[in-house]
Amino acid sequence: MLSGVLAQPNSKCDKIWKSVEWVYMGFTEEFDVAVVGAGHAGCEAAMAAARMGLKTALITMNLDLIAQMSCNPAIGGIAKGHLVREVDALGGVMGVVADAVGIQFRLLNTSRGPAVWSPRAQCDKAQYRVKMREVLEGQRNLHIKQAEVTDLVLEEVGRDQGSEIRGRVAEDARLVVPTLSAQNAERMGHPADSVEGPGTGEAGTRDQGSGTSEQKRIRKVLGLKLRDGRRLMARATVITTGTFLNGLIHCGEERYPAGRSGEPASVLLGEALRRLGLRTCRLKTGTPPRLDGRTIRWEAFAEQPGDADPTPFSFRTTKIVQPQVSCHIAYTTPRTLEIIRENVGRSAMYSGQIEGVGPRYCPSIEDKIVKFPDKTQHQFFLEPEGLNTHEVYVNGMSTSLPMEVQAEIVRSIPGLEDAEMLRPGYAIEYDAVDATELDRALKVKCMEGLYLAGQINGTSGYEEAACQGLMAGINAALWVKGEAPFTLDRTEGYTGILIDDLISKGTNEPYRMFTSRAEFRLHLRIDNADRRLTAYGRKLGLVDDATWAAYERKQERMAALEKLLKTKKANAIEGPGINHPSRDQGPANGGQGSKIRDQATEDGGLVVPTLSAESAERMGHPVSLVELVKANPGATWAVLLKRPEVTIDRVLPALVNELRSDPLLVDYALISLQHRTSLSHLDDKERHPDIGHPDSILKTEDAVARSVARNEAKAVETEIKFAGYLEQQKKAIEKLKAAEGVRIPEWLDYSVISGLSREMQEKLGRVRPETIGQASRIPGVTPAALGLVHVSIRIQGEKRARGPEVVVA
Amino acid sequence: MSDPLLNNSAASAAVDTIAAVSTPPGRGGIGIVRLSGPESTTIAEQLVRLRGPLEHARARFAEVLDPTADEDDTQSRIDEAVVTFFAAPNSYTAEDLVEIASHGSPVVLDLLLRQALTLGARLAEPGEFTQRAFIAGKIDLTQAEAVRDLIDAQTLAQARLAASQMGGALSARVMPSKHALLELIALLEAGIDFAEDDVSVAPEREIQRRIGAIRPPLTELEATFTHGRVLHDGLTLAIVGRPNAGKSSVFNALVERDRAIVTAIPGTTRDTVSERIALGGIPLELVDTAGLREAVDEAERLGIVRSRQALADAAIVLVVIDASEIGPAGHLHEEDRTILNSLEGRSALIAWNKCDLLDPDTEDTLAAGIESSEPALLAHVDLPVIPTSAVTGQGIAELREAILKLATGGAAAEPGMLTSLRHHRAVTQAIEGLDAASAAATNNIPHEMVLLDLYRALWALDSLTGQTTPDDVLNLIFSTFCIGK
Repeated sequence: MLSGVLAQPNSKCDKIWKSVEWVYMGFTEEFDVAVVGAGHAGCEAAMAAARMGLKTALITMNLDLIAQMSCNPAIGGIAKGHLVREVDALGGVMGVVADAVGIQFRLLNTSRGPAVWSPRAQCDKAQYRVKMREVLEGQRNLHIKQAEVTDLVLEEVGRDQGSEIRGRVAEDARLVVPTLSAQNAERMGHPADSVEGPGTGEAGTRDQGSGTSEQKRIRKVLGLKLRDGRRLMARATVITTGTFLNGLIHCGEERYPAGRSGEPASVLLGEALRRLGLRTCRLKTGTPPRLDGRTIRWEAFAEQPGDADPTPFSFRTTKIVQPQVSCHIAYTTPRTLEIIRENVGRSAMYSGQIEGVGPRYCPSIEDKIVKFPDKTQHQFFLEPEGLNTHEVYVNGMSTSLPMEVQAEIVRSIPGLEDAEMLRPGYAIEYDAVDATELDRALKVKCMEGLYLAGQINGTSGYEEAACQGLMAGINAALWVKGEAPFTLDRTEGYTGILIDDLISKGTNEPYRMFTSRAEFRLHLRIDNADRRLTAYGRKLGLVDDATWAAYERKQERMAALEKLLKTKKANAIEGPGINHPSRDQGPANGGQGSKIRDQATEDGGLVVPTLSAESAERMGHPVSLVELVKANPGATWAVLLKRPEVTIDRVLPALVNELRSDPLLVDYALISLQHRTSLSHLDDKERHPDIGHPDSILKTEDAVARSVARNEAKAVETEIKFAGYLEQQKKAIEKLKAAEGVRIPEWLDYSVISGLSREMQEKLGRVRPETIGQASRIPGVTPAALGLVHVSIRIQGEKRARGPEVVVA
Repeated sequence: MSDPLLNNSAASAAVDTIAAVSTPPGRGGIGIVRLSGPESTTIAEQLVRLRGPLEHARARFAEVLDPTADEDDTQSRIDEAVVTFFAAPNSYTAEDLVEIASHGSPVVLDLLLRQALTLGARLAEPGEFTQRAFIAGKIDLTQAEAVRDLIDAQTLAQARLAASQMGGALSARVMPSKHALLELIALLEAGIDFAEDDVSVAPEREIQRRIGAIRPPLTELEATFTHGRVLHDGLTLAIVGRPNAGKSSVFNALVERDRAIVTAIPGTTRDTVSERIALGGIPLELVDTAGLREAVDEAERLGIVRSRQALADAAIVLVVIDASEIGPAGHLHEEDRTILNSLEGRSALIAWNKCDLLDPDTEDTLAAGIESSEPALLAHVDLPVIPTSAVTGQGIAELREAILKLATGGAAAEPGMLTSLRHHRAVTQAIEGLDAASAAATNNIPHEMVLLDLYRALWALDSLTGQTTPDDVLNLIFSTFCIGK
């Protein structure tokens, strides 16, 4: 990144040169950062750059389709919810927008530990677009433009032979540019026929760049050409074209070029990017048919309601405003499978018409039936696309069968006999760039000022796109400001894992995040996304004062609770109503319970109804807390919490007096006492305890506060209960950090390291890992090879320092 | 999830503590176990009983204790050691470095090393101390190039080893367990990552059933180490007994040539004499020793000290007793009794030698007497007794057979045995991981944590079969479960 620093405009003089430069180059407008594409990646990128104070252009082919949810009407899900939280913690917008338009919230995986809890929300698709546009339009420095980008304006600045050389050439080039003749300037705008040079003109097909990057030219993106003739100058460009690059839609035997259903593909820009000579691959994804909800017999399906205490994505969200609706669960019938089997040969997937590789985690319905012939039934979901539409998304039925077969499939399901299809499902093939062409800042390695984010990098999913958009936007802005790039490693977040996976390994199917990709899963939780990332966001200028203050308060609250649990000796008589008589304890203990209650009351405690023996049994708590406390004299609550049967919701009620300053937790304690069995399905009307306490009890109409309190308490519990496991992971984290600390210099020449096999040289040369840690994650690179590389860093380094030759083994 | 850095010597320099015996194999004047890394001192402090705290560049006396004995048992001291500590960065590797110098007995060194591994050290790769020294900038470029060549050679050796392991018997033996483990991991991972799909959560019973199926082949494999290690490294057999019992004759008979000088004069053998033979494919180091008795002169006294050392170091002890000396109604000589008493709990056998000198009747009586009159003759000795005559060659074949049986624990050679400490460590770590996972499942610990233990087991097996990547787990999930919406 040294070259970046050297090439920055950092004085008034530079600015003057710049303006001379752009007039010469025929630019009509000037921006610091240009973002191409206004999908989930583009919106985050543009917002980040603008909020970091830079003049930013967001260019979209259709203003009305900003932040279009082109596939399912939901944000989040397992591991994806983690990504949204991280985007939010860093100061991104996806979480806030999704919360504002969410119509069904569910916290997934609550039967497991909080590390894998993940929020998901059905969103009103139309409102999502509207809300995002509102956010974008409200942002200073952000200029939204409807236009089609057709080309990049490039300038050659040198060859990638080490940062010193690169830096020097870049600097020279800046001085030279203003003196270019008008003719030359014109040629700059036509990289295809002149700047690329005769030797490589049209050779920029896929895999052209398979040589080591030492030989690659370094070029710089100066701006963009629009179809309407305008030329935008941009110091940095972020490209987020989704499936629009040479998009090709397949629906049965039919196929036609498109970016999404009903939208044109970006063919010209696709060609321009192809000419850059980056390695590309062809990917495929698909969507299911959409139905008219009025033609669905809803009573035929099992209802899946949302949580009564919705967990929002954003740490900033305090209220869920939209009315909440349900999804419905449906199943295929034997007839469905029959229809699919009969017609599978007509599916674009199976007729050989599609060459792109589709995601295995999101197979088409025909795929499921062919690959799992023994499975007699497949589940799918009927999901509302919004509050003001009857459109229903059939999640789980992605297909590229002909339209009439899709209709037949739909009608084979009881309840959908009369269902009308509003849009058919389709498969789309598109170009993606091999992400090993990128560095950790999502910058194209052989280009200056060019960043890629989202599906163009081979990922799938709104959330995967958003986190990349945010990182690319931040880094484009930092580059323009002349600051060092901002990167995250695998120990800091799913975002870091996603980028590291992509740039180290590339992908051969659309890449989706899974929690199993995270080796430090226990530490990368939704509850601590802010602890992991908000300080970075603050430093970058993306976290405002109010959010920062709220963040600090939350950390204090959690620390206080942890301290309380760790220092306070457990005392069964401390709080009210914590006695849970077990079924075989008999009436004697019931008596003890009431005695405790009385005492608590005398102590000024709260009177809370104790649980009946029956409900205690139902909850599977055979051991009473009172007995546990007796059996462990002098133990703190933290010590008791380490026992599997002791959970935070059992402990908190005993601490209501101590927790007075934290009304949220007190409220949670009392509620959990009453409704421990149905935590996630509380209903305000049912939950009603006559628990009046002058200052400690909130009137919890606010379900969000309730979920926040629960999630915080659970997080503290996890840190205490599973300290051993967390510690184990911490050691692994240190190990990885150490490996990440060993940087591999750009000048390292793999081709002369004796003992490295050709295959290994080729792999390392292509990815050019930044650290020994990253190198270790390139498939097939052995520990011994890493040892060689590590030693060679010093050997080559000393020889460089000693002799005149640039690189010697 | 994967931990490619688990055994990555280059990358984890700052974090791992490595251990190795840093003196050549076999008995030397002293033997050194070396530890380098942040936990060196913590491990050393638990490894030996130090007389005084560790200080930079200071040597400390310490006692090596038998880990199986009670804490306060004074008898548990098995050796003395000198422990030297070098604090980072002023050490060879620039890390905290501890050297434990003991009296060089391979048994003690082996014990120290294995204990160090149990206490959290990792077995150092060949040349790894030097590699660390190099990376820390402690050695110059010429040395560095030597290090590179060393790693280079290692690369080739590892490649060969890996190739032989991948298609090898050990790998073939571990593979089914590893695959079953991977399937369990995929089951639990699918339950977490695809909770939205109709993948059912694995009940505890199912997890236990699967762990229960994975574990036994691994424990069986683990048990082959005793034998496998013998096959690989061989072992030492010391021939001891009273002067003139015929030790050297038996020695010569076993090595099949007149290696040791044999005379009728007691105390002929002054120094230990050793010779390697192969017995049933096992490399066996035979050590003939000076007869044990009150020494008559200085040379013999020193010889006897060496005899006792050889006796202490040997894996198997062959006690030669002169049968002709005892006579029909005789009893064991006091010195024989002392020797036999000192062998309690060890692997040993008795050559009932000079049978040719007994008259046939007596021989029969004695042969029978070994069983019938045992309380009198070989009271409380529960060792194999082989009647031999080194002169006639009688019983030598039986003796070889008995030695082989002791060496192998009676087990026959089988394919895919564990022969190296590294492999043994991998299998025990896998078993530890499985046990921890099983205990966690019993306590209803959430699956994402049970998985940590299972991955620990998986990575350990990876070192025997080749690496498993997160994509391998995902591949298995996608091919096993119909997932996706």
